[in-house]
Amino acid sequence: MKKTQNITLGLLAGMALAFTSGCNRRAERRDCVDETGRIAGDQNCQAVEQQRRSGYTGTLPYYHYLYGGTSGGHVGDAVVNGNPVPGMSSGGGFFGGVSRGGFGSTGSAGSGGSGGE
Amino acid sequence: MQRHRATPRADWKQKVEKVGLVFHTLDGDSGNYWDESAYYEFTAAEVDRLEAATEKLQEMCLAAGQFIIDKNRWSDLKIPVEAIAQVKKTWNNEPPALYGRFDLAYDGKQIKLLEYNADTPTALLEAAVVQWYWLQDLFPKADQWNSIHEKLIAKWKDLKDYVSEPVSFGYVETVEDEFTTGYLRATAEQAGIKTQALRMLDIGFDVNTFTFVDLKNQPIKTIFKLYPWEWILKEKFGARALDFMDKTQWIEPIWKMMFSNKGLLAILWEMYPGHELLLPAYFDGPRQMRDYVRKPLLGREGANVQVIRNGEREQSYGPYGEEGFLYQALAPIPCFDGNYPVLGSWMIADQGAAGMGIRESETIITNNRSRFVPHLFR
Repeated sequence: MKKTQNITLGLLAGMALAFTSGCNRRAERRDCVDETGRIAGDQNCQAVEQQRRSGYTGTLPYYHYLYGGTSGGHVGDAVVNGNPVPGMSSGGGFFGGVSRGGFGSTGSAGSGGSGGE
Repeated sequence: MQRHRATPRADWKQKVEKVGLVFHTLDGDSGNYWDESAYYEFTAAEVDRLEAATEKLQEMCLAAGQFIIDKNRWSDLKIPVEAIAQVKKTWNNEPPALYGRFDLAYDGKQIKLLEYNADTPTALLEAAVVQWYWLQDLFPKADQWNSIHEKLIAKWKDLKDYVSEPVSFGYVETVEDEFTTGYLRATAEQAGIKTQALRMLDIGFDVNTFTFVDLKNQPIKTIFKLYPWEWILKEKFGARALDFMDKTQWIEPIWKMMFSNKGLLAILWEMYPGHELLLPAYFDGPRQMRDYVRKPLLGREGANVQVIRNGEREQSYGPYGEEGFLYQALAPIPCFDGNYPVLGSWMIADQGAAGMGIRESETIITNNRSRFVPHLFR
């Protein structure tokens, strides 16, 4: 019989390590950018979010947040190496533009771990 | 419906392991999960009734889905506002959906819907394969309500032109989930579809292309996930799943959030009050019910359930309930020698009612430690 308990413990250990290393980082920078990755101003992302929450299903301007990364900090400046997922802009989850670990945490830590029922 | 005691096959562990069921024994001294020391026997007429009830319930649930959308019942079901547009869109566009399991109470007379596990049902391999081989070994002249395997393969064949290969199968590393997704992969492969296993934790998001990617950084265009939507939406990539749903086809689709929610039971009762297949169910409390069950709207595996019977309370514990509760009349679940069976009736999308698996418990609450007991009919 497969000993999954060991696997689970390994995962939990890895998650714990990522969590503790993340705790020492300062608050993460966030910029609202356009489809080219240039800073566009928070009001644009807020407007898109408002539309989405109101149930609008049409095409919306592509403004979104990037977390972390570096930029000049002004509207129109490009954000380099930002991540659309909060908490993943640095550290082990982000390589070459691909971040991982954004799914599965509830299953790993939740009741018994199973995603089935 | 009768329960019979039986002598397990001498080599039953090896036999069920051979067909993939490695999770056959509970931890410690809790006994067996796969339990062939008993079996249930039905008549062909009873199976016909159960099959017809399953088909009827599916029809009613589809009507309930449209009702929820038309009446904007999102807040009753605690479906997040940001998910509503995609729930509606997928409902209307009908992307691939695969399966679901109705949990039924049956006392030999009444059939009552307990709940619909429509997003991430398990106990599948046991129902589709393991009990079939048990039947062949011990009762080859009897029959079993079970065409689950054949219908899954038929469904994948239908989907072959609508999915992108390889189809990823997302799972959490538990024995149960690994062998359930492994089995579903096998049925897809038998239908000629290339697949790959992928831990949910390993799913990547490419910030340059705004696509979900696999471990080779290739776009995930179709994924079956044994992972509930309410968990997906709460996690870090949840918003990306909504934003880029046109790039990744998710099986089950997000509209299944309407069905896998216990609130569906209250919606059904509102639409079909007094229907013979339903139990009274309400969002706002037990109302006039004396004996009833309180279930979390988004509960799983029997956790956080309260049973109120004859003024006494029986309760299970767990992490669920923050979204609220559903109050359902206590079902007429029969008790055989101290065992309460719940019938899991499988529905394969577009293929219809497909078969049955039975879980048995020593309490009236079925949970993740309830035993799987095989069945036959004559």
